[in-house]
Amino acid sequence: MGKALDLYDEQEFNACLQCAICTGSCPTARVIEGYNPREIILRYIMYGEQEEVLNSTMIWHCTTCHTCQERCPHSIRICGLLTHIMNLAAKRGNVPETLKSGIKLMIETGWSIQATQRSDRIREELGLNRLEKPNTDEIRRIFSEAGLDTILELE
Amino acid sequence: MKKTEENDNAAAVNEEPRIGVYVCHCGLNIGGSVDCEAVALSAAKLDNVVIADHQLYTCSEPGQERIKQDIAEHGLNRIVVAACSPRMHEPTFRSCVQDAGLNKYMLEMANIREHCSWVHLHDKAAGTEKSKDLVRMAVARARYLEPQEEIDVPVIKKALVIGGGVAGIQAALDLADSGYEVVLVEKEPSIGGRMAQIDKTFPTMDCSICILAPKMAEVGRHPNITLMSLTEVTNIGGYIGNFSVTLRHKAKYVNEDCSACSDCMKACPQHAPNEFDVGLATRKAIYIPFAQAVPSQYVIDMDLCLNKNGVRVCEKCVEACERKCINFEDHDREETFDVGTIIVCTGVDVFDAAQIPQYQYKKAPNVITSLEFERLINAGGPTHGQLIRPSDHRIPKSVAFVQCVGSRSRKTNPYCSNVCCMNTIKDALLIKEHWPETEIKVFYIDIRAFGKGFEDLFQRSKMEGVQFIQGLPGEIVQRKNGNLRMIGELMMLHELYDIEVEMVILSVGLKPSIGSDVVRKYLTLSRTSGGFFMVAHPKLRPVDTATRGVFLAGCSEGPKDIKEAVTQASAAAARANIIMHRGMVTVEAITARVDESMCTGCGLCAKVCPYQAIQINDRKKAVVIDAACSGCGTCSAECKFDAITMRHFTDRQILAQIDAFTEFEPEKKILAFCCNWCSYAGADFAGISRMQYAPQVRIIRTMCSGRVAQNFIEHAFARGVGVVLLSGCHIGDCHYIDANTFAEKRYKRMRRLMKQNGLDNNRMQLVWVSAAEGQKFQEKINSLVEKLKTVTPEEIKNSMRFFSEREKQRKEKKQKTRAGK
Repeated sequence: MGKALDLYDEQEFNACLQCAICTGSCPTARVIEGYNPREIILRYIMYGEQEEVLNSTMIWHCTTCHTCQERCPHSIRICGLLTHIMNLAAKRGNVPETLKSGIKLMIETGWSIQATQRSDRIREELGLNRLEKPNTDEIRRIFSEAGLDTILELE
Repeated sequence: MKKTEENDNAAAVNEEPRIGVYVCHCGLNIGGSVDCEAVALSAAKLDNVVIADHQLYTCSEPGQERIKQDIAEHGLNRIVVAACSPRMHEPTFRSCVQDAGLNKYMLEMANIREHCSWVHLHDKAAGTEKSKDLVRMAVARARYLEPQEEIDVPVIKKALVIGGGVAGIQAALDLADSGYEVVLVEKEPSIGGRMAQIDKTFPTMDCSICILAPKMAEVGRHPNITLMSLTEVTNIGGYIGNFSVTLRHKAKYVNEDCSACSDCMKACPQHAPNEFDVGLATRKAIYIPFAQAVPSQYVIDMDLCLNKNGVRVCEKCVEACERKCINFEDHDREETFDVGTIIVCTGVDVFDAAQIPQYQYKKAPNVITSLEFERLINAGGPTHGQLIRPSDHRIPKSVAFVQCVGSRSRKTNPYCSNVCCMNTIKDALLIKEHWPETEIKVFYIDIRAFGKGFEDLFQRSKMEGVQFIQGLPGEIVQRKNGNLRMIGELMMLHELYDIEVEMVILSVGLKPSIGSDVVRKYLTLSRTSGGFFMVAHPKLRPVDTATRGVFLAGCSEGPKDIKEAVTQASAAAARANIIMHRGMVTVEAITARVDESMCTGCGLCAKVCPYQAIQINDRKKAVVIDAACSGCGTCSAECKFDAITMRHFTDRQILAQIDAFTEFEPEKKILAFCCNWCSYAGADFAGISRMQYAPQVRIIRTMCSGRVAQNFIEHAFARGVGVVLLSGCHIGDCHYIDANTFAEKRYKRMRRLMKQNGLDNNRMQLVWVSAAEGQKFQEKINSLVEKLKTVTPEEIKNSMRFFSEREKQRKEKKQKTRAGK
């Protein structure tokens, strides 16, 4: 986790004014009710509720678009912290099933969204070539090197 | 000018030093992290120290009494006080020893608070050791202290006020009413400043121009005030009581006979945005900024006028003017005069909201700033007081205010602009007063209603139906109809808002006026981190600057409301009054003295003097003009023949400090030379702010970094110092014009010399630290401690050998020169 820790510095969060520009700018917050990056930071850093945050499913909604961070008056690395939180949660196995199955699919097929008979047919109609099956061994190796298989107990 | 005898004191110089050392606990400020008793015990063992003691508060009445008693009882002739910064209590202890019959220059202070206990709060052992060193150094210097006689310089009973906003107006009126001649300089065509642009004032809702205009008019007609509008400061020299000021009067092209009848303006064909109305209305090339302008006189904007460079193509205004006031031959004029005191009231500009793109300023027409709002709501403004939307000239039914635009942000201005919360509340009430049905929402982080009557106004606005929404919008989106969607988080309910309003007012913060930079340069004022001018002491000298005779008022010192600006202006006027009323100021006896027997008449000193205060006379000897000398010490540092003595900062005193410093484990320590005005003050600031840094550093104070002779540094290395740090004011900020550039030259010379002779030249360091840059000082010391760790014993040995040899050679050479003569 050494590198992940460089994503943010706890000190910089002390500058937070609670101006709410982060959540006010968050595109995810507009579609996912209850998702609130400001609140995640408040709980995790300032109120010391690390356990609750790491066990929450909410943390996985961040798309790391960096809008919050760009607009933050104090340039606090909010996305960095959220990524860090996701990393920690993943390590303890708190990864939503949907994400897990997506990763599994990618290891097995090389695609996060699988090609279907229908997609093959459409490609043919559009005169596009047939998709070749990606080298899944390589993908598996990359994921394994990154430690994803043990973290997600994919074996 | 009075010059007193020095011979009376000659006896004191030759006396055996009898030194008293007093270590102050300053309550727990020093005592908490320094073992003061141990420091006093170690001082007691030093040569010439007759008595050494520690006290809870040395500056207290009993503390001072004790010093006076000891002087009488033990025949002490030099006093060392180890306490706070000399910038704090040196005057206190100087008058204490003076009361006891000693010359006040027989006092030396060791700064064990700002430079020790406060910056090493958690390392009592190191703090105590450092204090012992600092006291030993102070005692070493004290042995060579000499009595000095100060001279009194007459003060010119005339003041300069720079900036004609409400602060400048008040300061000028107060001084003029006290009977002094005042010159009020304003760079715009009229005085009035920001207050003239504002519609109403908080919390009383007074009409701003209605209460300001009478004061402006009073300035215009006051017999003691010379008002110079459209005038800029181009140079200021001199010192307290005797400043020499040069101004440039820009050509107005209209003379003082102008009755402001406006006939010329009606005839003029050229239009441009009116600065006073923040570009919301137009003016002509010949114009008066606003109706109540003082002086009430038209001016021509030559950039806009059709007649340029003497080519006359348009005569319309000339034909229209009955009184024949227009003169195209007018030109810029420079004027120089002397004043005794200066009050700086350079004011503020507003933050440019276009720097925050997601708020759409300058892209969406119905997003305006708070200053633009003031002009719109003002009856004398471009819309005659109608708050209309720029896009369709309709009166909006719903308005949103956004707070902290450009303030409290690391990206823009880090500070709170102080006035925006109350200004918005006042503005919201104004809208409610004219159009009670308007829906008003204020988006904010915190509402700061801290002043007298402020909370009442805040409550009143809520009673009137103004809604306060905590949580700034993440973005503002313009709709096709010109309305604006405010999108953000409603913090209190943990949900998002997406609210449509017809107009948005960005509550923009304040920043120091651009024009203040010239003034800063010539008066060598320091700025705090936000760019505002720094006062001499934030609590006890809140309108004084570090430059004697120069005072601050209004927003040049920091964002503030009208009441505070006026209070400060009256305070500054009172402070200036004290100096001018006395009519004399005492100048510190720290100027240069030439020893004719040593002087070879080479003229180098005269060449390097930033004040041209040294001349070579017909006998080929250097002569110091005392009144012109400011005491930077550059001449002394450059003199190759030891012919110049800087009083109270002599070579012998400084070398003694270095010797005392190097007595124990010099290789493990950093020797820092700090100038009195910037870097020493910066180190004090680090102390006051409790910025912790490594304890290995010991500071020697000189008036200017230009005083630090190369042989001081070489002597330190010859004695085995690990690292030497030379520090001073930033280039361009030197309190002695440009004397610090000599420090830089010597630094480069030292680096070169060390490199050429196989020595580690990173042991010689230079840093510019302003009085506000405590953090920079802290960081530099911490990085130097890392450097210190890499210095090997062999390197120390080599450098000691090399520099000792050089010192020896230098001595021999000098003796030869002297013998040759």
